[in-house]
Parts: sequence; C-alpha cells; structure tokens
Amino acid sequence: AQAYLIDCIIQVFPDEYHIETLSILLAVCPKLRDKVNIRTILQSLMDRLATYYAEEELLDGELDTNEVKKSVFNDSFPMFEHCVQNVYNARGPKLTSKEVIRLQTALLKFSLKCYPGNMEQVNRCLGTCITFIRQAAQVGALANQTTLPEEDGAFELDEASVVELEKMLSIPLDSLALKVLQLDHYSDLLRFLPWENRRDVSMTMLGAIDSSGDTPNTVKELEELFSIISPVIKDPEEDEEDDGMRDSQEEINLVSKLVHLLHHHDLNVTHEMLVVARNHLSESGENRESHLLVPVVFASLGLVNLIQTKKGEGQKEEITEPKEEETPATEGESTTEDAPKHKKATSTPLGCRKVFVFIQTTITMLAKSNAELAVKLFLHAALASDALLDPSSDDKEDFTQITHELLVQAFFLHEEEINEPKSQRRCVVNMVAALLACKSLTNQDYESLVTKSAQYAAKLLKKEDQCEMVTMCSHLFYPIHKGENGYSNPQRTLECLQRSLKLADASTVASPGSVYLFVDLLEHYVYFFEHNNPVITEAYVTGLIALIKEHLESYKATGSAASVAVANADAQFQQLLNDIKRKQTDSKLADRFKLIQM
Amino acid sequence: SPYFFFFFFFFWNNSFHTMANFGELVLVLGDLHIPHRANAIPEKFRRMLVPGKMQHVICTGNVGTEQYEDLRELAPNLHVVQGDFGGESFPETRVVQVGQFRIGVIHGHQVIPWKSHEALARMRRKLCVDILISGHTHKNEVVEHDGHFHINPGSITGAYSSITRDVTPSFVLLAVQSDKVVCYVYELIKGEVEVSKTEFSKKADHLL
Repeated sequence: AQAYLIDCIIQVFPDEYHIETLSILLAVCPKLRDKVNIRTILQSLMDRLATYYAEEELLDGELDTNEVKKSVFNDSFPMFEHCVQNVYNARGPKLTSKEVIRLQTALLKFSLKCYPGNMEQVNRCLGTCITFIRQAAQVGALANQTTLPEEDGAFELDEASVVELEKMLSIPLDSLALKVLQLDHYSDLLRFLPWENRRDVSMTMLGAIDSSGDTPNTVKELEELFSIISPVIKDPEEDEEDDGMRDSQEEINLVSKLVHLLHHHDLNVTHEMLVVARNHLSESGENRESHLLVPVVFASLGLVNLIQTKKGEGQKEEITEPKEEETPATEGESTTEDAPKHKKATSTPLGCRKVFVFIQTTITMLAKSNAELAVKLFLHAALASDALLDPSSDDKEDFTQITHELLVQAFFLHEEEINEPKSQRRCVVNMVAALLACKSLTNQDYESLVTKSAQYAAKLLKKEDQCEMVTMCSHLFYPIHKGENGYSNPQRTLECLQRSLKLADASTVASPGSVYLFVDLLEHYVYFFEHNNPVITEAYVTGLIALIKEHLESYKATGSAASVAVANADAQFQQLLNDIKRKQTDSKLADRFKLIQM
Repeated sequence: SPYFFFFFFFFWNNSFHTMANFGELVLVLGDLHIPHRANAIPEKFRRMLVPGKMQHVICTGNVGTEQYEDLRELAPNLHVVQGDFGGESFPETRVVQVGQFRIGVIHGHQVIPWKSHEALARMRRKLCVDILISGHTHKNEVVEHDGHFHINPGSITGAYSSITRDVTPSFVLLAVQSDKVVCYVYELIKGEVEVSKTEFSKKADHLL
C-alpha cells in the first residue's frame, strides 16, 4: 500500500508542488517499510524533476523567476543525496552492494542531466560506492576470518553488483569521455569488475573518446587510459571462454583510432605518447600486434611531416632535452611547464632521425607476425625519408643513409621471410615501384638494390610473374626522372626486356592467352624508344610488332581456347598501334617514330 | 560559381525521378586506410554519401577493415580493386560499363613510374577503356591524355601518403548520360566542401 500511495502522490501532483514539498517527501522515504522499492520512487521523482528543469531552462532561459525554484534546484541534488544516505542508514546491515550501487546510479544520472559538468557530484556518487564496497570487503574478510584483501580487485563482487557497477561506470562516458580519468575513484571502481566487464566498459570508453575527439593532454593521462583499457588490447587469455561476444576487429579498430588522436602542441610530447602507446600495444599478443602497431607507424610518419612543417615555419619548439626513448617520462609534462627560462635557449627541437629510429624498431617488432606488412612499411618509411631530401636547405641532417637503411631492411626481410608466391610477387611490385620513386640514393646504393630487385623478379615461381616483374625492373635501369648524374644503364634495360621476351615466348607455348605479355613488352620497348634509350632502336620495335602480329594471326586461325584473352591482347595491341601512328605525325616525335615500320 | 554550387546541392537532395535527368551517378573514392592511417570519412563528406542516389560505387582500393559494408549499402553496384594494404581478395583491375563509357579501375601502385600519365596510358590501353580511374597518390586529378581521361579521386579520408606531402580529403562523382560525362571533384579545404567540375563526351573511338 505504501508503494502505491507514494507513487500516486508523485504522479498526481504537478511538478511545482513537488518542488515546494520535496524535502518533506524525501524525509518520509527512509521511514517506509523495507519492502517498498525506494529506488524506483526516488528515480521517478528525479526523472520528473530532471525533465521539469530541462523544460524550464528552455522556456525561461534561467530559473531565477522564482526564488524558491532556484533554491530548490540548487539543493535538490544534496537533498536526494541526503535522503539516499538516510535510506542506507535505515536499511542497516541488510543493505547490499547492489542496492547501494543502484541508488548511486540514479543519483549519477540525475547529476549528469541537471548539473552537467559538475564533477564533484559525480565524485561523491563514486566515492559512496567505493567506500561501501571496501567496507563490505572488510566485513567479508572478518566473517571468513581471512586477511583483508590487499588489492581492491581481489575482493569478488557478487554477479548482480557487477552488472550494476558496469552500468554505473558506463553512464558518464557518453558525456564525459576522457574526463572520467579526472574522477577520484573511477579507475578504482573499475578494478572491482571482472575482466570481461572491464573490457566492455573500456570499449564504451574508447567509443566515447572516438566520438568526442578528446585526446589525453599528458603522457600520465595516457598511461592511465592504457591501464584502464588493457582488457581490450590483449589477446584473449588461454583459459578464457570465447563466448563469441568478443569482436576482435572492433577492438582493434577502436584502439587504432585512439592512436591517431594522440596530439600535443609540443611534438616531443606527441612522440612520448607514441612511445607509451607502442609499449602497451606491443604486449597485445601475436594475433593483434601487427594490426595495432601499424597506426603507430603511420602516426609517427605523420609526426615527421609535422616536424618538417614546423621547421619550415621557422619555429623552435619550447621543449626539454630529448629524452631516452625507452623511458616514458612521466616528468615530461612538469618539466615543460616548469622549464627555467634559460633552458629555452639550449633546448633542441624533436629531430626526424629520432622518430625514424622509433619507426624502424616498431616495424621490426611487427615483422615477426606479418612480414609482408613489414616490408611494405619499411618501403613507405624509406619513401618518407627520401622525401625529406632538400638540397636547397642548409639542414645538416642526412636522410640518404636512413632511406638506404630502410630499403635494405625491406629487401632483407623479403629474402628471409616472404615465401608464398603471391606474396612474393606483391612485395616485388612494391619494392620496384618504391625504389624507382626514390631520389636521394647514391648511384652505388641504387645500383646494388636495383640488381637485387632484378634477381628477385627472375626467381619468382610462375613464368608469367617472372616475365612481368623483369619487365617492370627494366624501368630501374633507365629511370626517366633521374638527372644528368643519375644512375642510368641503358644496356641492362634492354637485357631485361630481352629476357622477358624469352619468358613470354616460353609462357605462350604453354598458354596462348599469355600473348598479352608480348603486347606489354612492346609498350615498354616503345616507351624507352620514345625516351631515347640509346640501345633500344626502332629495329626492336619493328621486330616485335611483326612478332605479335604473327602470334595473333596464328591463334586466331587455330581458334585458340583462350580466345577471350587473345582478343583482349589484340585490342590492346590495336590501341598501341594507333598510339604509334599518332606519334608518327606528332611534331615532336615524328622524326623518331617514323622509323618504326608497321 | 555560387549559382552552380546552389544548383548542385539542390540536385543532391532531389528525389529519384528527377535524378534520372542527370543520368547514372557513379561515386568514385578510395585510399581510406581506416583505421591504419585515418579514423573516419570526414563528417561533411559522410553526410553527402546517402544510399539510394547512386548506381555505382567505384573504389580504388585500401578501404581498410571497417567501411566495406557501408560502401556496399550506398549503391546496387560496388566495384573494389586491390590496394597495396590488404584487400587481397579483390582483383587488381576492373572494367565497368556505364552508359557508353568503358571505365577501367586500378589502384595504381603497380603502374610505374608513379604519377606518370604515360604509364597510366599504358594501363588504359591494356584495359581498352575510355576513362582510367586510379588512386594511390592521394592527390585528386582529372586529366585529359591522348583524347582519353585519367581520373584520380584522391583519398576521401585525407590519409597520410609518403609520396604526397599535403593531402586534401577528396572524392569524385560522375554523372553519366549515355555519351556525356560530367565529372565533379569534391574537396574538403579548411573544413569546407568545395566542388569543381569537368565535362566531356565520347566521339567515335576517343573522347573529346
């Protein structure tokens, strides 16, 4: 009857009445019989008031039209809090963790709705919970005559409380996101949750961080965040039951996105944050490590760009001496703020070289679990370093060595670890393309790498792959973009193409559909001919045109099985012939191209 | 011009039957690299990518691990090619017929030297297409070459590239009406969407 009557009172009277009589109603609540569900009563009251205040805000703008209203608004949270405390007292020893948490959750929701940004209230709610739980732990220990658990986490909360606690800790994430780290007891309360629930809360937190775009302001904050989200980072434990609920890909995605949010106006701090991130992510286990370290590599490459931009703008960062990479300096933040004035003159900006070393070690770490990915990353890093070469600047740093070193590592890794044929082909494509794009290598270094590339190409498993890749390598020996003193070996270019011709020949014997290889080759002969390779004369072009015509006619005549492939190759061939014809009348190229007989 | 800008956004919000006046719409995008290098497609672009308005989506590759399903929902036809980071289940090249145009698609890291239109022309001839779409450079381009067109939608997320220093998020929309194409390039510059357009039509065996 009491529950029904109270409910009636709450429903029947308008909000204004309740505001006036709130204190009376709240005083009664603790006196109600045990079986009455106080929580639902308080919750419905709080919800009514929250809605009412929200509407008032919209209508009047401010709540100062009525002094009573305003004073009650300011007092309502403490009033509810006080009431809740009285309820606890009235319950006495029968009070359970679950009930405590539930009521604090209701208060928390009320606070977030009506007093957004009031961290103190949130702290009080969390504080009440943790005090009660710790007390319960103590009582439990005494009852069982065991020693008091040293760590919070060692005390096992009952299942129902776990569910409630998880809910409670998830609620503020939407509005507060990263700010929860500033709360007194948030991380402490998390420790009472078992692994799985902590993981769920962490996922919600990471999602909130991603939506808010909030970033940790200090290395210390980042460290704390990482310790909270550790259940998301690591591979499932061996004895963990896979309930199928765990979405590894989603976890990897959210953590990866966190890495991209790490920014600080002081680039040294950004770098430190990436170091911290890498330290944690490298412990994620074999399955995930390669996925999680990739964003670290790209974030670091982005950092290199930022450093260059800053240099270009002539700014000098106000930072400390570069710290040893391996110690994530928690003092980093304090020294930047308290740096004595004279240090500004002697401090050095974050150097690209240091970041490249970091990138290199990171890629090496993930090479163990995904060699192909590591090869590609080494190549990207090499290109990034190559792009830093600026002959006009008086920057003393020499990136040629770094570029070369990274390329060598890529090549080495390819040799040692890449065994599957498709993977090998993909790597060779990437290696040749990257090498061709590099501008800063010495002729000697370039030549040794180019020679290696050709060797890898020739050793691929399938003849078609060998043919295509050796053809691709021909570009390396006669790079169009390299200047007067650039590497050039026209003869080797021809040798590549001639070798490819033989391979194409061998391929088409087995499968006529491979005739496209000849057309691809013709494209290359024409290309180098057009670019004045001294040893690739019109004779080669003329000869190859005739050869292709012969092949195509014989395949058409015999109605070859691979007629679609042959038709495609023919179409490609016709396009190329048209292109040559066009060039025979082009003002700049006619003289050269007229030499080709079709 | 402001007139054009207003006109285009009006067109964007139209119902399907009016859309038919613009022909088939082909969304062209790529190099998302989510979450390796970027977190999401920029908000202002996301709002424009509404399902049901386009007939085709062409992706130059490097979608990443998250967006594939979203792309599939945008249009009845999704054509993705293999990038250099993942996507090994996709083919390296694709040819799509839209109106009278044969459109070839390749990621582009395989076409060397990078950034060379001569090299792209080689691929264009190989695929026997009127328009060649490629990505990889993260730099959008609409270039006429030998009477044909080379289109690069750039990176829709503005992802990091080791070969292009400052990447502007961008994508392309093609409005194909039998033998005419209007090509719209959308860029996100200082937080605002900017559009530019190119028109071309097909004559006999080459484009003008």
